[in-house]
Amino acid sequence: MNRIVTLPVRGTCVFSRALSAIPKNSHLSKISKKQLIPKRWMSSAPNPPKQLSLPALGVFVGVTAGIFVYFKQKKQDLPDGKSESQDEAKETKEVEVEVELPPPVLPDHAQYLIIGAGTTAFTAYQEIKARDPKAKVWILGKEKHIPYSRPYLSKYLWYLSPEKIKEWMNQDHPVGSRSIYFENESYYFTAEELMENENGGVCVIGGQQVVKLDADNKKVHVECGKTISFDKCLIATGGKPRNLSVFKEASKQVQDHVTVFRTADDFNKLYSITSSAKSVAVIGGGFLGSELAVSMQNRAIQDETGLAVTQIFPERGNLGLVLPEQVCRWLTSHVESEGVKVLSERTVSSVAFKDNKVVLNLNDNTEIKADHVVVAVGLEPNVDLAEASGLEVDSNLGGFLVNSELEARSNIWVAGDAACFYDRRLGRRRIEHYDNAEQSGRTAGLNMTGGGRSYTYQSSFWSDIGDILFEAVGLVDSKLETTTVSELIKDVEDGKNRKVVFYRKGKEVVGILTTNIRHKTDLGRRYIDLGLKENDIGEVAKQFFAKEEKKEDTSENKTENNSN
Amino acid sequence: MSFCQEDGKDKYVFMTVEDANKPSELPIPKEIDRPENFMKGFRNDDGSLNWECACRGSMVASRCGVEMRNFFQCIHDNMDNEEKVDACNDTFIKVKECMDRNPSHYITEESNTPNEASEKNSASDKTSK
Repeated sequence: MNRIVTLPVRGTCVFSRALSAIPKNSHLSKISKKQLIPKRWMSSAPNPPKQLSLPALGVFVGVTAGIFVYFKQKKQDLPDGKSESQDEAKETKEVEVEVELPPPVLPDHAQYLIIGAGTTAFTAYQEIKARDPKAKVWILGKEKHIPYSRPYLSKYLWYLSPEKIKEWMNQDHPVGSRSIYFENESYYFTAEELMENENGGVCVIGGQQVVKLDADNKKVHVECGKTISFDKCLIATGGKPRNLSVFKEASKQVQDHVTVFRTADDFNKLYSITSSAKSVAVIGGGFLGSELAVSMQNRAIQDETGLAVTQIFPERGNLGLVLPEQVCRWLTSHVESEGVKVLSERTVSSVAFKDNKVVLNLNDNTEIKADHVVVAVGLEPNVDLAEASGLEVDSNLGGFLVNSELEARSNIWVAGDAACFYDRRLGRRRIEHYDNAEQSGRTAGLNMTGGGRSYTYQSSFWSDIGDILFEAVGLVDSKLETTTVSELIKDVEDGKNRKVVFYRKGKEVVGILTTNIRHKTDLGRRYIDLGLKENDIGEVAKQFFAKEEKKEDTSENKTENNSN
Repeated sequence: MSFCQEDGKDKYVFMTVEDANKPSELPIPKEIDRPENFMKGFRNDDGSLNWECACRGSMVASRCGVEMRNFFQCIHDNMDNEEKVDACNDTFIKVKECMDRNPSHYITEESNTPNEASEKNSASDKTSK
């Protein structure tokens, strides 16, 4: 089925997108001169989604062109004289940050309340407004950020120039320009505006922690003391990054030099630190740890900062919990070839602070000194309000227990990283990936407006580690039996080494992971849904290796099947 | 020639480029039919507009989402009507009024600077959240 591109969609007016050219990738041609940037991103970096088929809009364009050319939504289209005063305004803005602002206004009642302000909240509010046009959606987020997309923080951003990064991290970026934020700040209403607006809208209030949810009386209690009643509530609290006790119990001096990585604020801090640091230790060998280690090392080499990254983890190799042994070994040697020093099968026994560096004592009695430490050892679902609220938490996978319609209690839904739901094919699951956040958020929004649909979508995930692209669907656990089909080419660069890994439980394939293969995620999804026998693996692998057939655009409805 | 290695519970199959790129003997499975409207495109099979299309998600939830939606719906409903500009004039004016009410997000050609726009529309609200 036509699949939604899982990248931020920007621009409030479909027409402005149709009229203005899809932004040209001019900045990418500058990047291509630097060899260390994964070549993949030169031609296929996150592009503005090609979901709109321009022929379809041609009719709208033809009819309304005369009228709409009248309007320009983009602030960037302002005449030059404007931009100076804008810069001045921005400068004064930076100074004003020091001033204490009054506490934000919170409503007494929220028609639709979303706890959490990430990707899941974003797709949920879109779906709610689509089905209930005049809905008033209130979003309470813990971070002081409007909704943004996390995957950029450990990947793409590290390869941009500092000026570009500033644009990307600007909550007030011009409409239509690239950013980690799904929309800019002016898109959302303030609380006062939303309370008054007959046509409803969306309001995001950051820096708020909900401490209790009274499901019987449909009320939430916010940390600041406010009580908000609601009609429908979505818990989209995501997770907080795990930390190791060796760091939690360390001295303040050590802790000040440790970043437990998850948020946009963590990225800003780490980017700044690694501009001058000479040594960074990344603790963790999973997706986040490996992406960060390689991204930081690549950037250091490109900018000639002299930074050396060391990665430390207990598994045998990078992604040791996911990849079968030989594939794991191949990836680890690739990570090492990117310049990262990999210390596998090691843990940190104790830490100290000496000569302005963190000293990590490893279990093999060696010592690593680092200017800064990054911890990326997994995610704890944010279920802080479960106990006070009487909501059930899954003892095995963590997260709020929900049924297949993502409901925890009447009128209370949970979606995203924090939701432990039942997958008819693969059993009870909790998924910490972007596609699940997006799709379960949309399903929750659908059900909050009376949709009543089970969440049966088989989500996928991707990872970029240097030049290597991973995409996967289903259960990908290295403890399962696996069959890896590799394309045998002599002297091939790591970034072109194509493999398909099939994960089996008994005779059934329950997970498919690919390396350096694009646009086949949906194929993997279909096989997980339909079932695949071990005997057919060889022939099926060929379908993954086969060159992508150009789809005929038979209807103006088709959205492009982009995999990420 | 392709060959296979077994390493405990893991099997490793190596296919030559020629073998890997041969057409598969098995058929490619059909697209999964998702019933949710948000998985479909902007036009339904019967020609009506599907406002749940994720492609319109940003617009429907925007400050002037309702007004814009009414306008586009009007244009769509009046596709065959030669007088569509007149028929949809009201909805069009509502869009314009809404955008004028929200200068923090929308800039119109009439207002050359955001300052002028905010003078025109004193209802502009720039308090931070």
